[in-house]
Amino acid sequence: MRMNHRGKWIGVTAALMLASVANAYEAVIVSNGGTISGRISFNGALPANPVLEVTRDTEICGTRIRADYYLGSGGGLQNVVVAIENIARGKEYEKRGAVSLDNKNCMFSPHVTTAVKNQKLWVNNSDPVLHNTHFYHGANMKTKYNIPMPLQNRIIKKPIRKAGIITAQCDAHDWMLGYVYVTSHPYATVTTPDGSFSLTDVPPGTYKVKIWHEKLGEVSQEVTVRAGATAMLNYSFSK
Amino acid sequence: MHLTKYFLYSVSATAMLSLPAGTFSLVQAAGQKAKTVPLPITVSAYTKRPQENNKSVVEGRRIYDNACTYCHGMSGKGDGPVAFYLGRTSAPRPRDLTSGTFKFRSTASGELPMDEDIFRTITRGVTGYMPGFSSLSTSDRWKLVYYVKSLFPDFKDAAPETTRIIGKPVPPSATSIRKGYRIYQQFKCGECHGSGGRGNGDKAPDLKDDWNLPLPPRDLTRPDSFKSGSEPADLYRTIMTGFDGSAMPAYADYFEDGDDDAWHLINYIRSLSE
Repeated sequence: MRMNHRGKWIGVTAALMLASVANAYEAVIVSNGGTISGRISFNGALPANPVLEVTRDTEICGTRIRADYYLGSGGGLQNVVVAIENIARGKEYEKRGAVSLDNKNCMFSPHVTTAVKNQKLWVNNSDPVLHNTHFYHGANMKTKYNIPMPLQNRIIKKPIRKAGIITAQCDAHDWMLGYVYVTSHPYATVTTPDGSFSLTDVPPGTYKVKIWHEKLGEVSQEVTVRAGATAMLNYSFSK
Repeated sequence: MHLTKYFLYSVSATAMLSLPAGTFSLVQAAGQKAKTVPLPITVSAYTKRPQENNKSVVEGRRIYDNACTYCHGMSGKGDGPVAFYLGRTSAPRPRDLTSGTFKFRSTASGELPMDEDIFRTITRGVTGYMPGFSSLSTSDRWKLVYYVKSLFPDFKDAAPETTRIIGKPVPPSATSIRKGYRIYQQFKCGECHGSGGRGNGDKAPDLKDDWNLPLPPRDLTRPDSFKSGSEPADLYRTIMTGFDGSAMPAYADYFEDGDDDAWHLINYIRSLSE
């Protein structure tokens, strides 16, 4: 009996190790890469952002804050994450790199950002009030870190260990909301105010590309990248 | 030398909480030269524990069914028959043990607790909410720990590490309490806990737990109501690691090797009830 159990655990452990090897991203020199670029837009006028009443720290935060869920110009949609799904090999990235998230004017800045697994998150507080940066990981909103930010301009560094979407909130100011989209590879970016984006040095191949917006949800598009060429990817959300 | 006395005091106070008799590992650690030592969460009696295997998990389940299901539910989701009456309008509800979120940890914010953390919570209970189960044998409590861990798959791969002691405990002198008060102000503890520690800070009415239930900050003038204990080692753990699932964040990043600030802060908090 005991042998059986032990045998089973060895099997499970071996399977887990294999799985983690299969998921690992391999950095290689990409000499013949292509580019995926395009524009994410919204059909019609952007939905109005709600105005949030501020009841705490009004001398710093103001009395009303407009939410930043829907931003963009000229039909483009800002703060959309465009990320290749499950790319196993590709360009090198700065593993020691850091992603910054600031508590500024009682909002998270940037509102949406991307990071690569194992990079560090640098959290700062530019405001002279107490914030606490409460990170939740994944859809079940499990507490990842809960960092107090009592001191102005004091950076706290935290490792990002898992891929997935990190949601940032502040318990002291419940309107504050931010996102860190974590991938296991460097092929993820956030759209600019006109909705455009570009992923460079992509090894030739056919990929599924995820397009994610905090309120409008996510879609997946197939894109074929050829060496030295630019593959266009345009997508339009509608309400 | 007063250091050792301090820890012995801790131990005797903890024994009053009907923990199994034993010695904190910190007693031994006090003699070491290292700047940081592990947080005292283990008691030597704890080390005599049954093996963690399928058999002990199944036995743990049997004890759980007898002692825990009324609140935590048959599946551990915190939805037992009694849970309906608990936490309907304000936190805490009985913990959803399948959520992987644990308040009382000696590990960093977001990490799973150590086995000893779960053992401590089962033994002491949660002041004001969950009864302590020190009447169960040590072995049965360990089996319960194993069963609780089996409800959340990530425990299988987790290697949680206990947070480390920074600085050294200082006697609660007037000077130390004054220093502690300055740290309390600097770290803006009063924003939630109130400038006098009565749990009536500016942010207090807004605070909610992960389940969106109102969860007011603790009144620090009433140490007998502290959920995770009021001894210096308990306060150290709470300040450094926070209460995951609540608004209480982990302050570990704000204390540096070789400074005793955390212990001054603890002295200040304890002075609020004197």
